[in-house]
Formats: sequence, structure tokens, C-alpha cells
Amino acid sequence: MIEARDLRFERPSGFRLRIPAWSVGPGDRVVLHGPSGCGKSTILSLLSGSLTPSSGELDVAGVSLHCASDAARRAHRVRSLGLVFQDFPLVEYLDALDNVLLPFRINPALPLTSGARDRARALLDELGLGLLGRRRPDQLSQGERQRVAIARALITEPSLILADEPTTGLDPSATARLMSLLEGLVDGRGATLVLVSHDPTVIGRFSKTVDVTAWREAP
Amino acid sequence: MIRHAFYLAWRHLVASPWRTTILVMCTSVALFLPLFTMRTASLLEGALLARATSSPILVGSRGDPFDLTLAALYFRGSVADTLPLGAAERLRPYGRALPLHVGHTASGTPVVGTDASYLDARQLHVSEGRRFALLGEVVAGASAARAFGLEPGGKLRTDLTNLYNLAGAYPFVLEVVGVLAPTGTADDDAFFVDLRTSWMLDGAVHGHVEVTDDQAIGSDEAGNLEASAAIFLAQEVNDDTRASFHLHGDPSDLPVTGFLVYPSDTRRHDQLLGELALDDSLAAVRPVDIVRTIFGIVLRLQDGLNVAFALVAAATVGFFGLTMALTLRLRSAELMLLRRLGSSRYAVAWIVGTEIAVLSLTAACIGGLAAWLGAAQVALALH
Repeated sequence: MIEARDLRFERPSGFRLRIPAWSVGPGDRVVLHGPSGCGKSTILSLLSGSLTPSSGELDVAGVSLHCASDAARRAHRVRSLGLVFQDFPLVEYLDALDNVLLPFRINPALPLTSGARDRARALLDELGLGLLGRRRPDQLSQGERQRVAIARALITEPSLILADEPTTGLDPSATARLMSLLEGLVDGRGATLVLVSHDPTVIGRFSKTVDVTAWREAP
Repeated sequence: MIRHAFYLAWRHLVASPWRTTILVMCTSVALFLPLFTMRTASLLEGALLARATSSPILVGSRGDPFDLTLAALYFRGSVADTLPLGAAERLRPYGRALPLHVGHTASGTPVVGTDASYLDARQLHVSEGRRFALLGEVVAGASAARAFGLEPGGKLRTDLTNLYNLAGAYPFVLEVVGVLAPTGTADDDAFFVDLRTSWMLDGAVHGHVEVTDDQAIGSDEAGNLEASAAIFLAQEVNDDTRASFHLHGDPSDLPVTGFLVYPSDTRRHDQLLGELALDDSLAAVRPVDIVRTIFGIVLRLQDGLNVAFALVAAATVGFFGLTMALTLRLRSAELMLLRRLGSSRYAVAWIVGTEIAVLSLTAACIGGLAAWLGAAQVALALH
């Protein structure tokens, strides 16, 4: 699912990452951890195609991102990846159903079909939000917003899910509930999960962990 | 992509109704003001010029040509000096001279004295009833009839010319005998009577109620009863009073406001203008020249207004731009989310641009439609 070979990335500020070799197989669940600023979120951005590597090779879900065009990387992102962001941002003026369908409205690579609409409703039902589809985010609880954001990540039936510190700010019981939900959904779909966290209780739930500080290079 | 950009823009606009309404209204007003002014001026110019070009020459007493044009063409205001009906004899060699007597009103609407040939010349057709034929009969213009609910058989009371002029003309009750078909001109907003009825309203033609011995203070040498203040003047022409109406003096000496002259040909047109150019008592004006002069003044005023409108438009564009900039700043997290999910800069620009286009088009439609309808109403009211 993910193959990185001698991958390098650097910013003008002097920040540098080097991944000699890294491989993630289909259905794997991997957590990236490390202290703040070590480059966890940068790696997710490289995997999603939001950032391009300085050199090396990076294949994600069958796309060679190191040589793909900007349009191809965006199409790859919207088609093959499910993205779960910190704080679960939603578009405030759209209702829950439209938020779930948002990926279909922002990139022509994904046509909005009746099948997609049916899938969105089924996802909301599966997440216990079946009756809240027409509510706007300001009419939802924090937990309901999280589930809408997760449904948005899953609506395209992605093979790889990237989650960037989804449990930040949550108490331990909410963290456990969210992780159980996420793991259940990912397992049920046979998808690969790469999650960034520095929460030990979250890290402890993963059999495969990567300490990103090992890939950080001194400027 | 356009469909989705429109959907997202629409949902955002609907979710912020106050912001959307204020932006649309401000932009609409900024568009309405210049469009309304230009459209109104254009419609009025067209309507006034159409009437002016269909009225080749006006002849009146030497005085203000603007007063004569406004009075004889649009029945507004009056002229300082009238001229006698007999002046028509001087005009007859040049073509048709249609007399016009303007100055009386009924409930504020002009009562115009003329003869039937005026109705022919203006192609005024009677839609109900018939033309005026007898003293005291009136034909109502289409708008005037509608405004006062008049139809043949109805009564129309003229206005008192001067409340304190006890010896002057008193209101008369006229009989409506016809209603004219609408023409979209000043004729729609007027009542038409024959010249004798106008002179009756002046007081030059009058009738008495039946005179009895009790009302007489004496008799002349022939034995005729002499009138006294106890004899009432008739204020309505009907079967009882019609025979008593009479004129003191020669009709050719009685006043008219002016003549609408249709010269027989171009040569006579030019001859008439040339002859009256140096005349001491009569003046000939070409209405089209007067209307163009008036619109020259209006256009200069409009130039000044356009500067003001440009300032309003600039302020509105600034307000619109500032509001959109603040909105984009507030939406930066949302737009960033779209980019992170897989949207291109181009697509995000499409979404924002579509919203601006929807706002602008809605405002343009409202402002343009309001200007169009408002100008039509104003032109209708002022024709």
C-alpha cells in the first residue's frame, strides 16, 4: 500500500526528513508517533500528495507520487485516500449529509452519483446519525461532528485512511470510543490505516509503530 | 464542477441571509440609481419628442416659448398672454390651425378647449360614447376617465379658478358624453370640451336660470327685464338652461391659448416661421426645438448626477469587496479544508467566484428590473 525508498523532504527553514525504506501492506494499521515538530504530519502530507518529496520514490495506493502531476495527486487524494483531520473540521453551512458528500463536489475526478448519495445515507445510519443528516454542524454535538468527519473520510471507500491526531483534546473514554469506532470501520472495509498520535494509550493499540524522530535529519 | 460550485455558493448564501440580503440590496441600489435615471430620461425624451415631432408648429402670443409648448402640448401651466380666436385667419393660408384653450381644470386634471378637428389630428378615437357636440359636453381622456371612474352619462365638476374672485368663473357641472381610447400621450390625462364650453368656464358665455319678476329690479325701454344680483347664473347646461346660454361679444375676439398648426407643405411651414419671426404680437415655435432644448438641460444635469452615481458605485464596490474579503478571511479554514480534501485552487476560486457572480447577478436583476419598471411608471405618470 505504501512503499518509500530513500525518500527525502526538506523545507527552506532547514527541516529535513529522510526515510531510507518504509513499507506498509494492505490492511495494516500503523501509528506514527514522536514529539511535536518531529515531522509526523509532514509524512501524512507526503502520503496524501499535499507535499511533494525533494527526492526519492514514494508509491501510495498504486500511484507514484514522486513523479505525479499536481492534478494526478489531487485525484489520487480524493479517490483513494480517506483523510481524518485533527479537530474534525466540517463546512459549517452544509448539513451532515452534504458534508459527507463534500469530496464529490470539489473534484471532478469523483462524480456525484445516486449510488454515492445512498452510500452516504448508509454510512450515517451505520454511525448512528441516520436522523441527523439534515442538521448543520452547529446543531451537532462534538461526538456527532467527529462521526460525520469520519463518514466523509470513508464515503469514497478508500483503500488507505490517514488520520492526523484525531484524539487530540479528547478525554480517555472519548479517545477509546473514537479509536474503537475508527478501528471497527477500517477493519470492516479491509482498509489500511496510518494514524499520527503522541498519545500513549492510542499508540498502545497499534501493533506497528513508527517513531518519526528516527527519520529526522539534523539541518 | 459549475453545478457543484453553484450549489456550494447557494448554500453559503442561504446560510447567511442577512449578509446576503444587505450585499444584494446595496448593490441593487447602486445599480438602480443610474439605470433608473438613464431609462427614465430616455423614455421621457422618446415620449416628449414623439409628441413634439407630431406637432409641427405652435402659434401663440409673443412670450415664453417654453410656457406655450408646455401648455399647448402637455396641458401643463399656462401662458402669460392669450390671443384672440380671430388670429386663426392669419394662419389659415399656411395650413390647418387648431385652437387650444388651456387653463381650466377638473379635480386638478386639465380641461382643454378645442374643436373636433383636434381629435382627428391627434388620432384620438372615442372608445365609449361619442365626441362633444353641444355646450357643456366633455370627452374624457382614457387615464382621466379611469382615475375618476367616468363613463358616458356621468357628470364632471370643474375647479373654481380663483376662490376669492367672487365676480369670476364658478365651477360648472359638465356632462361626460364620451371616453377616448388610450394613446400613451398627454391626451390621456385631459378632458376635452369645445371652445364655447371653455369660454363658458371663463365666464364669457353664460346662462341664467329662469328669470321671474321677483328677481328683476326693473325693465328697459323695450320692456325687457333687467338683471339683478338676485338672478342666478346657471352652473350646468341642461334642457332647462341650455336656451338661456349666450355670448356677449364677437367669438373671434375671445381668447385661446394658442394654435396647433399643421402647415400644408414644407414651403408654407418655413414661410409661417419666417413671417411670425418678426411679428409684434404672434410667435411661432417648433415644439421639437423646445423639447430638445429642455433635454439639453436635463442631460447636463444628468452628467452631474452620473458623477454622484459613480461615487455611490465606487463606495458600493468598496463595501462589497471589503465584505467579501472579510468573508474569505472567515472562511479561510473552510477553503483550506477543501484544498486538503483534494480541491484545486482553480476549483476553490470557482466556488468563491460563483458566489460573487450569484450575488452580482441577483443584484443586477433586482436593480435592473426595478429601474425598468420604475422608469416606465414615472414615464407613464409624467407623459
